[in-house]
Amino acid sequence: MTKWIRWPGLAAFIVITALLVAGFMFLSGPFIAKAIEVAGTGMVGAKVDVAGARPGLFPLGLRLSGIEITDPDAPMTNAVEIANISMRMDTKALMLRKIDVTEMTVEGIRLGTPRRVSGALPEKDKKDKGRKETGEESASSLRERIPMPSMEIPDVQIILERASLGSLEEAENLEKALRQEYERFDERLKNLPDADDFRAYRTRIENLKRGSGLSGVLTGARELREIKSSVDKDILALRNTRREMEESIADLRRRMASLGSMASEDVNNLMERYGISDEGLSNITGILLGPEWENRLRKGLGLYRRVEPLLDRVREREKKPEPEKVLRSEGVDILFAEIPVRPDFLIRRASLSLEVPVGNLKGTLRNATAQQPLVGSPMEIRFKGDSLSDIESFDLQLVFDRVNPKAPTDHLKAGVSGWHPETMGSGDLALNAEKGDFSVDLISSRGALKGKMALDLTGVSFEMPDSGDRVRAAVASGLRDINRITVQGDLGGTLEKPEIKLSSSLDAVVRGAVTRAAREATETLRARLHEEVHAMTDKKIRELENQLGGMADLRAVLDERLNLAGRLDI
Amino acid sequence: MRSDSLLFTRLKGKDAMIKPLASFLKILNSEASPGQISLALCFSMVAGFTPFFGLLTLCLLFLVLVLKVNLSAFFLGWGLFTALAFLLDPLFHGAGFWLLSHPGIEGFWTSLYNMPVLRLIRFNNTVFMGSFVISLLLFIPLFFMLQFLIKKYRSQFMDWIQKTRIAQIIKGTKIFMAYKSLG
Repeated sequence: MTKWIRWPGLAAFIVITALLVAGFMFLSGPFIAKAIEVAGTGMVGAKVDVAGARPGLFPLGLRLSGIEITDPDAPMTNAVEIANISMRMDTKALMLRKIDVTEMTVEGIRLGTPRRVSGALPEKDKKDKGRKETGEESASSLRERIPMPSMEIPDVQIILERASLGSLEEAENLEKALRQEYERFDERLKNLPDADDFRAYRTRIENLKRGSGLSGVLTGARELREIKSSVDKDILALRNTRREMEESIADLRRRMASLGSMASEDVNNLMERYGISDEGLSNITGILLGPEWENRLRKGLGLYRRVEPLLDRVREREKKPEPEKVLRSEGVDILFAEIPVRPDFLIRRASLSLEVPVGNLKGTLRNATAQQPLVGSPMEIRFKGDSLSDIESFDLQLVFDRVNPKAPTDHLKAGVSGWHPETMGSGDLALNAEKGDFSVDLISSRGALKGKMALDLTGVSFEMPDSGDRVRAAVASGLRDINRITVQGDLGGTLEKPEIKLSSSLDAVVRGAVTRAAREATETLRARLHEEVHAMTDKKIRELENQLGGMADLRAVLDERLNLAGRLDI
Repeated sequence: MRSDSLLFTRLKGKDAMIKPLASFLKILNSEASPGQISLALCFSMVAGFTPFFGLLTLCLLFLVLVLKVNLSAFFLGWGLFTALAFLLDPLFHGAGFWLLSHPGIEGFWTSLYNMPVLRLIRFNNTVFMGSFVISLLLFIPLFFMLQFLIKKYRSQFMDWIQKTRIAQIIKGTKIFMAYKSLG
């Protein structure tokens, strides 16, 4: 048997195999790194760099170093930078052409680090510029959204110049009517019997009395009856005129009397139009914290939207038919059922170390795969941190549940306690807090968001520059005594259009203060308007009363004529 | 091995056309046993027919290096059978496809498919399966046939061929002289 064995050949085989393995070990690293860079760049849409890759055989694994993943929205920034990744793989699975990472350690994860060179892909440069501009616009629109209602008391004179007052219009009309009535009665008085007429009657009567003889008496009696008849007619005409005059004067007086109430009505109308409203600060929490938290939510969701398609990639891949290979000498790979079915790529367990400005967070990753139905468990990421520099404890849990591909549900739960927040709000109104506790519970299902957040801030103080504005003064006075805020947030909308509604005890306090300020300003304006409008109306009324005095003179003339008629004694 | 490689480095131009023939004659005329030559050629047939990159190639190399088969014959045959395989690929693909998609043995293939080592060999590839099965089927008949032919050649034709005009021409070429000098 040994005559068939060639010992030097065995040695040669071992040497050749060892050389091949050694060659693979030392030379394959750059190729693996390049392959990861190409695949990663395709997935992220911006450059992914891998400084080094070293495969290991015993145990089978891979060690990557210096991984930089560019933020597609900020090409000079790395979204994620990882110092080292070392992983162990299941040999059996690899022989079955599956990547099954049984144990992985990810060290030195850092977020938002600067890049030396831009990580933008050439064809994406233009799009990025466009997106940046839009981003700036949205940021400025957020700032502009802070509405501060004006409570400056408007100039009463300007208001009155612009306004048309019903009371003054009525006074004008009244003046005109008075003039017409005066002229009408004056004209009528000219046609009515006057003192001369009555003197003539008296002369005639006295002449009749001096008459003698029967015929003279009879003629005198007939003439006297005629005179009496004429005088009665004159008296009737005078009385009728007087009655009409009385009625007219009474009507004018009534109208003059209503001018006062019309003036009050004018003030009310002006208050409705130029009055001061407390609307606009009904949700001070939203104004103060909304833009900042909405920005954070949008940023987080932006990251999630980039990761999310990777979780669904398998579905697309499964739908695509296997391309028919017809290349000569390559043949076709016939696929058979896998028992058990394994995912193409799976990281079973990984320990993560995330470096953030406040310290190091330890994390775990479980079941990272794009084929969760095959694993039967969702992908979970958890980060925890204690004794951080500015935070007492931090806990973040992310669950990407695609076990049932028809009902994908992703769940984010985060809790931060003992957090020392930075100043929140804008320069107009800034909020400082000594300590804060924060929690969020957000579910994303088929693009729809639903969740709640809570923020408890203690040791609260506000900064609001005094600009003499009543609103600011009111808000500042309302906020002065507040030292704790509990904020509740309702998260909703969609991934593309997230909505965040924030409310807190702050709203009621500020609303109360603003309402009080609005009421004070309103009363001041009302008093000023009342004074001015009534002064104008009273002046008019005085003028009208003077004119009404003219009517009274006419009435006196009438009375005098009636006295003359009464004194005829027929 | 060393003489072969030295010889090959000296081949130039039209002399290269004669190389396989000279090599083959050298092997046939050597003192190697017909069994060693036949076995080497049979292994070279398997290696040549099946796709180059694969675990099977490594296994065959191991066998060829460890077993006392004629290495020159193996490498020469490997080249020849590889060239032949390019022509036979459609046949291999057809045979492999028929075997792998045969419903009666699907269970068997499925069990093999779930064996990591066999997956590494890529047995589920149609060209691999066709070429591997065909080369296995031909292995034993070819071994005995080649052994018979080599023996026949050595006993009856070797002297006659060496006297033929073509053998004289080959012997007269520089390449053959060089080859002979390497002995």
